[in-house]
Amino acid sequence: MPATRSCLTKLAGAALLLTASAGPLSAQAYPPDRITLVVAFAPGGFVDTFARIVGQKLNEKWGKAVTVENKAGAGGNTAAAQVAAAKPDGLTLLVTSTAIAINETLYKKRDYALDQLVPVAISVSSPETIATHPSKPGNLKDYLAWAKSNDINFASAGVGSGSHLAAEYFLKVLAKTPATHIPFRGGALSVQAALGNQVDMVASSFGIIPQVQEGKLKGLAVASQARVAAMPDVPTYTEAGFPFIAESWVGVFAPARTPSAIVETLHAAIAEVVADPANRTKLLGMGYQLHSRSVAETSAYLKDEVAKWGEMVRAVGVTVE
Amino acid sequence: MELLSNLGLGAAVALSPVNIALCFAGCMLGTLIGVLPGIGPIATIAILLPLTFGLDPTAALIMLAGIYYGAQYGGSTASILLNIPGESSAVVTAIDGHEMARQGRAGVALGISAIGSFVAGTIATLVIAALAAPLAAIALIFGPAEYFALMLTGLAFAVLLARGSVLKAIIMILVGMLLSTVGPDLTTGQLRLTFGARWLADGIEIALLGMGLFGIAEVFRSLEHGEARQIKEAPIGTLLPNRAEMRQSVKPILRGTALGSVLGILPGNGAVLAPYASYTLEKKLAADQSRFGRGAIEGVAGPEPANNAGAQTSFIPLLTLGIPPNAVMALMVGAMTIHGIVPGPQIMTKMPELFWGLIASMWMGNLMLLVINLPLVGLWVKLLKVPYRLMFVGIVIFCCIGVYSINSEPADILIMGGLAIFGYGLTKFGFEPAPLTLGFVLGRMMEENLRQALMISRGNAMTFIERPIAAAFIVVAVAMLTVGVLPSIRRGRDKVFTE
Repeated sequence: MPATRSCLTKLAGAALLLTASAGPLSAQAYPPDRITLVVAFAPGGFVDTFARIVGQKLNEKWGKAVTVENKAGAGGNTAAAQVAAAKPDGLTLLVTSTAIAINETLYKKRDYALDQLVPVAISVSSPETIATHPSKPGNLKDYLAWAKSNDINFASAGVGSGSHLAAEYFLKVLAKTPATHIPFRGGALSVQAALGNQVDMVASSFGIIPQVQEGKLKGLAVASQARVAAMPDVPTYTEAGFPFIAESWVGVFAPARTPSAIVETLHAAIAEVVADPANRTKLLGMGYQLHSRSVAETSAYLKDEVAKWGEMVRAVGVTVE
Repeated sequence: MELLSNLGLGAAVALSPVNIALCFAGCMLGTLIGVLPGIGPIATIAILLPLTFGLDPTAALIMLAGIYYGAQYGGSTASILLNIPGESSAVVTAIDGHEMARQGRAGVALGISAIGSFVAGTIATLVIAALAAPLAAIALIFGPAEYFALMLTGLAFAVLLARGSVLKAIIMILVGMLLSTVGPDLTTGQLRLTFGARWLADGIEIALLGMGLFGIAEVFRSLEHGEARQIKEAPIGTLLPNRAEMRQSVKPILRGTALGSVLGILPGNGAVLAPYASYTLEKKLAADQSRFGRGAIEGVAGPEPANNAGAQTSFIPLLTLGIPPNAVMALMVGAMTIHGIVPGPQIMTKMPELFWGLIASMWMGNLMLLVINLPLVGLWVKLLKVPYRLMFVGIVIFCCIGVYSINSEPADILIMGGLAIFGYGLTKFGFEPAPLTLGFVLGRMMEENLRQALMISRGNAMTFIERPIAAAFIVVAVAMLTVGVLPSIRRGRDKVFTE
């Protein structure tokens, strides 16, 4: 009997070992099937492009098909609601932007709650930037002095966009220089209006960088901790005397009850995509900032973001039904 | 001279075996998806984007661009043969092109549209090569006030576009504009005219309108008349345009090319106006206007080149300013991003191989498309012999797939169905769906530009008169309406009085 017993204990021990390593093991079995990346915006924007880069890499890595499904609508809420209601098996993921944090306060009602989703990775961001036509007055200080006496306007990608909120919050609350917001449909059109000197200022994120590099627009301030490598001459708001950070990011989310092992696996895979030297160079060259946050840090970051953007939404005073 | 050396550089890039093959693949694929009703270049390019990861960026862009202008060629095939314009630009071609097909002149219509598009493609390529930078600078003069005035001129076109009653055309434009206001308000983000329905929250997609009002409604109309009225009963006729028809088409092709090239440059998607503008121009210039809408070859020979030229010059704002003028160009930005290229003013100077290679490939692609399309004309015409009871099932299926592919939204298919019934009803009462489509396309842009212009001018409406370009467009619009509409109103009144 003792023999059997020891045998049993060994078995039990092995079983225990198995359970202990159940995380990585089941993660190895993941993904069992095709993965769907639900993109909250139309094809063509950076969120979509990022999703396709990630999708391609996941497909190469795991040999399972990855479908990118664009589900634009209600400022990203349609896609979020779809993934929030999806089976928590890690096969349906949401790729969205800062909008998901903004919408918590901006939208009066949504078809999902943010705690139905778990952030897998928020690893790419681009600071909100304001720029103006080169014919307009110099640095941020001179510009604001000029703006105060000129009742200026500024263009953005639309009402409630990160660019709109950050710029209006800065102008109204921090700089005490109210300006008329001129919304455009999409960031590109707002940049175009600034290029043609149709508006006094444009608020956007990475879209401004190539224009600033070529001297077609003059960067006034960038809302990041440190200056952006791609446009080193543009000071941060903090340097200009207005401590203010606002970044637009791309995040990947899973349904909240997705097993944490799967979330970790996905997190690691996305971290690999961003760490890939070729991708790194491309993203940095375009003016993106890359972050390595753990899953827990990402959750905490998201929470801060919801609070921060919420404060801006309330200060600016916009709501959407 | 610099132009020649630049084009030489471009040709050297474009003529590498890989790039030739990819250009051909793109053109072929573009033609195919253009022909299939409902599946547009946006979905195709989005799906193919990841496949270009491994390619050199120039090669990738050459292929994706090929899909785009290939789809412009193919799109005319579907509108001519089946009266299914997949995009708003093909709506105009359907008016006379489909009529020609019914009369057994499908081959002529397809042939002239391929030849016209090739001429337009060639000229537009040269325009881009020679004038891209200065043109882009001019395009920037266009602010919201200018765009609004331009759109107003466009609406004047829409009125003149009408085949029958001007009053009915105006009603249709207004309905189109009304439909375009569904969705979030630009300045407040509040939802309008959605009646609380979530599936209307982002407005109506233009492709739904095209496929519903034209494609599926056309199926209904054909069913009503049974197989007897089908096109296959008509003589197939000559496959290619004869000399007289070619002569008739030369000037419309050149005028259409000029219009398309100019409007395509505007970063605010001015290209959508090009086919409408060209059609109106041809109709106005024609000795016998009544032929239009009844299979006039100029109704295809003008708008098709205008469309293709506009598609091509719409690369100018993308390549010189980094501003994508339409959804397909926005995808090209995505494609560039994937390859680490930042679209912007620096492309031309810092990446001459990419810039000139892409331009040279456009001409090459247009040549390939001509070679692909002319022999296919016979095949497409034979397609009309497919019994309609089989064909319409195919049309409906492809339209549904196409609509679903846009936003994976089942409700969109229902909206398309509703629009189809609406479109069928419209023709029953003698209303034209074409002005409605233009009203829809222009309505949203007009409203947004009007509001932006007024916000910028702090509510001063004089901005439209003080800015010379805007003022010029408004004068043109008013003049066109007076010249074009007044006689027909008077005629209409006379008719009423004589009755």
